[in-house]
Amino acid sequence: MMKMNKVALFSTFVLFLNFCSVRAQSEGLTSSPYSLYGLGTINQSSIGRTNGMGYTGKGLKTSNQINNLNPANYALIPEGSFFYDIGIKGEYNQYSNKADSETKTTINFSNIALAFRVAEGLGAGISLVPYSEVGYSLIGINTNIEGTDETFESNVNGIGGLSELKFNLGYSVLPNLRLGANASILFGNIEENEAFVINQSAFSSEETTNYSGIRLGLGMHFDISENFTIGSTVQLPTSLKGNIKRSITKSLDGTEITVEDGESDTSADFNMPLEVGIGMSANILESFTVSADYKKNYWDATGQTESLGSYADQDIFGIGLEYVKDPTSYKYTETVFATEPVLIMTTDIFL
Amino acid sequence: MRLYYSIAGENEHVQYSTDFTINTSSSPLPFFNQISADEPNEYLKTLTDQEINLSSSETDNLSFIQSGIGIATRLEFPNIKTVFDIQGQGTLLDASLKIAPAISSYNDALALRDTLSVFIVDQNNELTSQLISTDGSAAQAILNRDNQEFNDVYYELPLSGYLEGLLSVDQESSDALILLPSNYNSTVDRFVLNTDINIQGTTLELTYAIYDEDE
Repeated sequence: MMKMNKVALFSTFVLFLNFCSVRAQSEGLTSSPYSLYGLGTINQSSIGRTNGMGYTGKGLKTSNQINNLNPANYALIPEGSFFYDIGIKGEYNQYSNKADSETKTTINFSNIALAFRVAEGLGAGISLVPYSEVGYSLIGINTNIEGTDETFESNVNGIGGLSELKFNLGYSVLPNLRLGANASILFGNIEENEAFVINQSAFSSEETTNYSGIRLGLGMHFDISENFTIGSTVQLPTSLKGNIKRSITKSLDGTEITVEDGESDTSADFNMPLEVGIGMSANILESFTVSADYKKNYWDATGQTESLGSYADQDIFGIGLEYVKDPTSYKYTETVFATEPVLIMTTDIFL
Repeated sequence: MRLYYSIAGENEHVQYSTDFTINTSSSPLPFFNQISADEPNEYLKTLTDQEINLSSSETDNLSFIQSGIGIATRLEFPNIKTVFDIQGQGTLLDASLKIAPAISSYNDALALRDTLSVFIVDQNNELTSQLISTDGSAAQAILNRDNQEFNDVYYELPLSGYLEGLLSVDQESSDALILLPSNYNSTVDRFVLNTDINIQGTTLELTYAIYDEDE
């Protein structure tokens, strides 16, 4: 049943260049304070080789792996193949300022996916990938008490995230043109806790927001030549239903008072933007594959604001380079140990 | 009280005395005094009965406390629930009432006491209980003299527990608070308080936390 033409993925050395200009945004750090915003940090990592290719792959044609970035690629699953992919992701982050430095290590499940062929030129797949991750802790936030010149200090922490269960379908219309469609169920919880003390009084709140929604997308692959493929994807805008459960307790002069106890409330829907992406890939000199993606997320059009600011359009560029000594080899040793380190550069620019 | 009497004997009168003691442990304290004021303050002439309330809007924003003749400052919070009109869902975290004595109503001879006692009264101005802080001790309005050199002195009364009680019940309370001198049954202290909200005579400071701005 299982037959996998496994080309190993070489990401022995990864160099990140992050240019954060104008606005502070960040992606892919699960213990990042930036996960305070929106649904958390959007998970960039996907399935298989994409992670080593600067998170690119919209225009990457592959018939021996699951490419979750473009549903059109599911049309290429060879006859008699059944793919599955389980991933684990580890991160080591170090934060420092003038006075302190702190390190955080997180290990997390990163994906589970399977793909199979339905008929000639028609493939399907299901994947479960974290969509966003929230994990922050902000200590000692000073906030003005409105109407006075006094301030209070609060501690806020958040944890949770959303998962994306995605159903993909890819179909070869012509030998060099493939179309795909996908439907995603987005679901998950984000928990936020806040506590502070004012004079003789203390306040603490626990809020768990449950989000769920369905999102649709389309993809296309077009082979310009045997070694050059372009692709494009679109994820349609959608809105996630939010349901909030809230517990509030306070203490007045040492007396505990429950203000709200796990009461349900609908929270504002979260609007997901239209996401449009294009990508290309080229095989050069047999052993090299270069892949580049550009994605634009139209956040402005969602018209959402938070107390922390408003959402702005995102431009994401990525480029990846892969070197395989012998692409036709089936031997694991020959592909893994015989390779030179590969330099993969990722350039994320958020405007 | 001691009653002296004598009984005629064979040769002389024999003198006796009998003491009438006051039971100071009973409640209410069985004492009696009558103090009357010949020419009361013009505003206070209307106060002829315990159940009469005189609004400070009719007394040029002044309120009076006079031990002996039973005049006390009465505090009502009929509109406290308007804090719920603030956009969003919130909860009271702290409350403090500041009342300043009227300027020039006090001097070295008519000194301000450091504290005022606070009692809860019903609609007929009968004392029902003493106001208790949430920590169990009797609540007091405490004189703050930090800025006395600028004539900025005021009594400060923590009210978070009392107002939390008013806010958490559905029906309107007919109770009120009254301010009395700390030893109101043994002194004849008098105070004139400024209740003008426009010159910061009386201020109710609420700390109100809004935890959901959308509702």
